[in-house]
Amino acid sequence: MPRSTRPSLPGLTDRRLDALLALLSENPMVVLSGARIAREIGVSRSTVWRWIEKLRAVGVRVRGHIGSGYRIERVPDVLVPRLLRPLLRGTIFEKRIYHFFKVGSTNDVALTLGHAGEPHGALVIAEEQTAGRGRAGRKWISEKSLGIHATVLLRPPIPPAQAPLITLLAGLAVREAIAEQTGLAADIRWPNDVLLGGRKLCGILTEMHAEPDRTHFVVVGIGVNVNQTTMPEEIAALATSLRMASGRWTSRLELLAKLLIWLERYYNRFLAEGPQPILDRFAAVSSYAQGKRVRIVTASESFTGTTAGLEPNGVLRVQRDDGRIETVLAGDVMEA
Amino acid sequence: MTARKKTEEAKTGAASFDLEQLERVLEFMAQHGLEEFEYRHGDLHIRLRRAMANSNASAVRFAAPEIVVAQPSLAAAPVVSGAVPAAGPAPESPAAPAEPSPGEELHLIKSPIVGTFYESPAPDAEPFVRVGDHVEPGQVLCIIEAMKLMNEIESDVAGEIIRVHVENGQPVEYGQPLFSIRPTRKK
Repeated sequence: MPRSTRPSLPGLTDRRLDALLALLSENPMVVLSGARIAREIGVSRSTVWRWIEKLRAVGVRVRGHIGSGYRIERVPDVLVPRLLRPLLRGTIFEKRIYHFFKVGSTNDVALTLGHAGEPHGALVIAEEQTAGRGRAGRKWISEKSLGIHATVLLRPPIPPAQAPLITLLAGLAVREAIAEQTGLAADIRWPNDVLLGGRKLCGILTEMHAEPDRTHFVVVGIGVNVNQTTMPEEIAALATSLRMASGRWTSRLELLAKLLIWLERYYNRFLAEGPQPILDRFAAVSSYAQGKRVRIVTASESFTGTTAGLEPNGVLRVQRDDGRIETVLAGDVMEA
Repeated sequence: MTARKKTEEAKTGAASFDLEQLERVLEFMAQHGLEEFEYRHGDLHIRLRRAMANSNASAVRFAAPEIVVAQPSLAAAPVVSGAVPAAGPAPESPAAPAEPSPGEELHLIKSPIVGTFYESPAPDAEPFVRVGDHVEPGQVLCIIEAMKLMNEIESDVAGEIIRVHVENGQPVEYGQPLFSIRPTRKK
């Protein structure tokens, strides 16, 4: 039986800071005195001042100061539980939300929680990651409050052999959420890089803890570039953000909520109906599913070919230039 | 295992490497006083070992093909046996420290999914474990990747890594042995 003791989570956002943000958001036109805020959330006035500074640092527009009182300029786009939970009502993700202003990696936190017996549906969010991880030890650059960095913990009642399909449905969920929130039709590069204009704006790293016949848990880490206006030079040719692709600001709160709702929807469908609906949807929206010229780079080789659909288990089929069909289990897929 | 049984295995198990070729290799080994011969090509893996005290008592052993398709139980069995019990006197030469003794029961770590085996968390990083390392339960031994799903394989016993059955970047099947571990004896 999994233990249910909660591990210590350094940096977890103080519930009273969450309450402060909620209090300011619920009174957008009102100047609240430092004393009143302090009384309502149960901290000292100097702590209120310190926390207001912290909120300003992640882009929350708060006017005023310790003498005059504080007023929020617009509803903040911070992914704290008090603001996110109302958007997740009725989903498996509303109950256990772990928010950090800064953390090493949301996947690492979720893995720790998973080993400690945390239940299905736990959600870990960070405004900023200092050690965001990608595939093969690559970095994911996670700037302060401009993107979404979230990991969900799932305990799927399926054998580990079927778990890789979860990576496909996660990519689809991000794609659908973006379409719903912004109207943009993103592409998916197998298995789950979400692209706009050929550039990556979402990366998903899924990690599993399993025995041969039993899946203990899966953590799905999702990084979306949302409101960045520039990309670091080293990835500028490869990466983009919703803002850069659309020219518009996007609410991270709303996008994250939609993403999680789609994720649960596809997950339930997968459990109820098996892989087919996921494979069909992937084939419908991904330009990489069929007839795409690609270069495949695996740990042992590199070759070019043309994509030829997915296997029933989600594996990519690629027809090599010499005609042989290759199944790609893992590796980098690039447009050739 | 008798020599006869092994011959049969040779016939059924390795079509692309016939008995005649094996005999030639054994002859070559005897001529040059070689104790061990290992051959890998594609999914074929052959390891030959001679007892040095008696050149006639050559021991032949087939490891399971390193890639066994959808036959997890098949993949598991032969690889565990480790060193071949020689027909003649036991070899006197110093064995590698991690070499299992004949008939020893080793603990096998198998792959829970079809995927690609990674010995380290990143291409340029140190392997999680090496032969001879002592591991504890829960310690990460490797990663198996399938469709960007990373499965960290942990040891479920305390013990010494005796053998790594697969190479970095190699595809593995469901149930394929990854590591042989000699469990630490309880006091």
